[in-house]
Amino acid sequence: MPKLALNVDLLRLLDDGALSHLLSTAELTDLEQFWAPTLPQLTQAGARFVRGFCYRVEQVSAGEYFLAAGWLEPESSWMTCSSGRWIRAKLLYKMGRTEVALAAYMQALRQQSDTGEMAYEAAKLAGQLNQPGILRECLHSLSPEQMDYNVLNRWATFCTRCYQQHPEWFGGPVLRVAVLLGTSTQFLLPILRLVAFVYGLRVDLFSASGPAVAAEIFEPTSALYAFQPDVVFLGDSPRNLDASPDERSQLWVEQQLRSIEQRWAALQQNGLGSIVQQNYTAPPQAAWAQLDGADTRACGYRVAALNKAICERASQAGVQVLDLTQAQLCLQTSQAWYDARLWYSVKQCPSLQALPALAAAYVGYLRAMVGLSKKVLVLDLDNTLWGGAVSELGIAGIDVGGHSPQGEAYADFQRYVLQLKQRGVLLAVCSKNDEQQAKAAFLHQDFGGLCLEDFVAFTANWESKWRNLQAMARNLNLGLDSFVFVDDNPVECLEMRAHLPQVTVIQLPNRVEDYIACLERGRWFQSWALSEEDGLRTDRYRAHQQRDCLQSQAPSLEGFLADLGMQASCGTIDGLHVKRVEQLLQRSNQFNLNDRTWSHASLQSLLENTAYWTRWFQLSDRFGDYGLCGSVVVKKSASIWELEAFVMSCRAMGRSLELYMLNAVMQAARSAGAQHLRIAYKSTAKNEPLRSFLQQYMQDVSAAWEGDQETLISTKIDHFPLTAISEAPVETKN
Amino acid sequence: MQHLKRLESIFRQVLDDATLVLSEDFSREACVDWDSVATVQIILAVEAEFNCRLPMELIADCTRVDQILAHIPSGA
Repeated sequence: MPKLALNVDLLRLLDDGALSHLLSTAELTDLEQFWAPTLPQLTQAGARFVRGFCYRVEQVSAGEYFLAAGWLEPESSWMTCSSGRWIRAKLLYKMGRTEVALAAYMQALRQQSDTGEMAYEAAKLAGQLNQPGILRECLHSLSPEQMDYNVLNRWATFCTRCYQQHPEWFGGPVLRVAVLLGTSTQFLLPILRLVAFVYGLRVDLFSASGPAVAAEIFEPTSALYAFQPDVVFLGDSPRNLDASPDERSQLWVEQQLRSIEQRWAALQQNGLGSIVQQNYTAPPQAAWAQLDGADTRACGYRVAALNKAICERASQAGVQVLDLTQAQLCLQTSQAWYDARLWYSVKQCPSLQALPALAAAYVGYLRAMVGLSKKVLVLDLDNTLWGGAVSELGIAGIDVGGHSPQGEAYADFQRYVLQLKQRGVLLAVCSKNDEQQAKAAFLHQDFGGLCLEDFVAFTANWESKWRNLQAMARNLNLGLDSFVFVDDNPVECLEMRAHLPQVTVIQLPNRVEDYIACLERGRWFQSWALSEEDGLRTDRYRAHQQRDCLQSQAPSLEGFLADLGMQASCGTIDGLHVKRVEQLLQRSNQFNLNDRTWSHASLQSLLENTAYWTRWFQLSDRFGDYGLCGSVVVKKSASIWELEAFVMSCRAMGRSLELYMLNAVMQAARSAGAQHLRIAYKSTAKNEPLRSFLQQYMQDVSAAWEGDQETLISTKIDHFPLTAISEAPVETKN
Repeated sequence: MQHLKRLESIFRQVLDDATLVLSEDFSREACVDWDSVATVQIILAVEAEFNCRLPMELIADCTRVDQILAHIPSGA
C-alpha cells in the first residue's frame, strides 16, 4: 500500500480519532521528523491522539530519542499546546522518571482544562509516589457533572482503593448516607462516593434497592437502623409506577403518596430525621402523545400531579425534595436520562451517563448539611456583569440589557444573581476599575438588574484582587472559604487561586450565554432549609457596616456598645423559630460548640421534650434588627445541665451576646437547682473564638480543649461570675 | 485473535489491572473484580470499540469472554 504523504494542512482537517489511527503505522523516522515538530499545530488533538502517540513511541522504542533530542525539556515547543504537555508528562512517566513526570503533569493540569483523564493519570502517579496533597489537587480539579461516566468511574475505582488503604489521605467531614431506591444503586454508589471526595466530603454508604427498601424501612431492627445514617435518600423511577389507565387519577396520586408518606413516617419514628425524597422525572414514554401532560388518565399527567403533592406534603413533614428535573437539565445534549436496555437488564435508571449529574445533586445536599455551602458571591464587573470595559467605553458603551443578544445575556445573568441575593446569598464586587465610573454604571441600568444596594461590599480599584477580597472577608467577618469568586479573566483567577486557595474560584466560560449554567453547575449556594431570614440577609449585613463605621469613630468599646442601644430577646425554641435555628446550627462555624449535625426531625422532637431546655436569642440595636442569631440546647438532669448546642451567628460577634446567652443558661440552671454545667465541646478548624470565650469563664477547668474528639467539659455553676452580666445587652422580653 | 487482544485492553482498563491476560475461557469465577457493574462497563466499551450493538441478555448474564467474542461481527 502506498504511504500517505504527511502534510500539516491535511492533518488539521482530521479529528482526534483519525489522527490516532494514522499514528498507528508511523515509523521511528516519521515520529522524529514529522509528528514531533508538527504536534503544536494539531490543536484538535485530544486524549486518543495522546494515547496513540505514546503507544507508538513505546512500540518503536523512540522514547530515548525524544529525551536526547530535548523534546521532553521544559522549554520544548510541545509545551505550547495541551496535547504536547500531556504527551511530555506521559512519556516521562513511561521512561521511569516518575518525579519529573508528576511535576510535568501538574504543570499541564494547572494550565489547561482537562476531561479528567490526564488528572487521573496524574493522581495515580501521585498515589504511587505517596503524595496525597497532589492527589487531592487532581481530585478537586474535576468537574464531575461535565465528565464522561467511564472516566469518572475509573476515578471512582481508584479513589475507593486509595481510601481503603490510606483513609488519612482524604480530608473533610464524614457523613453516613443511606441510599434507598426502587432502582439499582450499584452504579450510583461509587460515583457518589467520588463526587463527595471531589467536594471535600467523605461518605460511608448504605444502600438498598427494589423490594428490599420496604423491609429496611419498616423493620425497626433492620441493617438500615443499625447503620444509623445521617441522611437518607429515597427515590424511584417512573418506570416502577403502576400506570394502568384509570379514570380516578386523584385516587391514584393519593395511593402513591400514602406509600411514600408511610416511609417517611417510619424513618422518622425510628429516629432518622434528615430525609431527602427524589421526585419523579417525566416518564420515558408518552402513550397519550401530545396530551400526556394534560389528560388525567395519562402517565405524564399523573406523575406531574404526584410530584406536586410530594412537594406539599414533604414541606409539612420536614422532608427535603430533590428535584430531578434540575439534574436532567445539567446533562449535555449527548447524554440521555433514560436507557431502556440497562433498565430491562440490570434495573438501572437513569442511564450511566446521567449518574454524575445525579450524584452531584446528592452531594449538593450533603454539602449544605455539613455547612460547606458558600455565603458570598464576589463578582468582577467588565465582561462579567456587562460586556466591554466601562473605563474605556464609558457608561453608554458597555453592553448590557438593550437589544443586542449579548446584552440580553448579561442582563439575564444579573437577574439570576439578583435571585441568588433574594434567597440569602451575599453579593460583592471586586473589580479593577475606577470606583466612580463603576458605581455610575449601576445607576444607569434600567432593565431590572443589580443596583448598588444589592452589594454588601464594593471594591473597584487597581489593587490586586486577592488583597481586596482578603480585606472584604475581614470586614464581613466571614471565613475565606465562604467566598465564591467569579471572573472572566484567567490571570485574575490563577492569581486568586495562588494567593487565597480557600476561596472557590470560578473562571467564567468564553461566552456570556454560558455564564448562568457555569455558576449553577457547582451548586455552591445550596442550603438545606430556607427561612425568612435569608431574604433579609443583605440588609442585616449593611446595617452591620454602619455599626462598624460608628465603632471606628467611638472613643471606647464600652461607649460604642452603649451607644448602639442593644436589646436582646429570647424564648423557648418553638415551631415558629425552629427553621432558623436549624439553619443557624448548620451555618455557624466560629461560635459553634461542636460539629454535630442536627436534623430537622431531631430538633422538632426537642420541642416537646421536657428533658431539654432550649432558647433562641434575638438582638437588635438602633441600626436595625440582627434577627435570630443565637441558640442553645441543654439536656437537663437534677444536678447536671449538659450544653449540647451553643451557636451564635458571626454577625452578632463583638456584641457580647454570647455572654448574655451563657448567662441565661447559668441562671436557668441555678434556679433549677443544678450544680454543674457540662459542655459537649469539640475543637473544630474554626471554633477558636468560642473556645477563648468559654475559657475566660471556666478557668477552673483544665480539661482538654484540644483534640479532635467531642469531650464533656464540666464546670461548677457557682463559679460563674454574675458580675459579668452588666456588659451584656439589655433584655427586653422573655 | 485480534479481537481477543482488543478485548484484553478493554478488560485491563475496566478491571484496572494492567497485567491481566485474557483468554477465550476467561470467566467471572476467575476474577473477583469482574462483578455485575464491570460487566456493564465491559459490554458498553466493547460496543464502542467494535462499533456494534450486543444483545441485551449479555448485559445481564455475561460470564465468559467467548460469549462476547461470539457476538462481535467478524469484520469489526
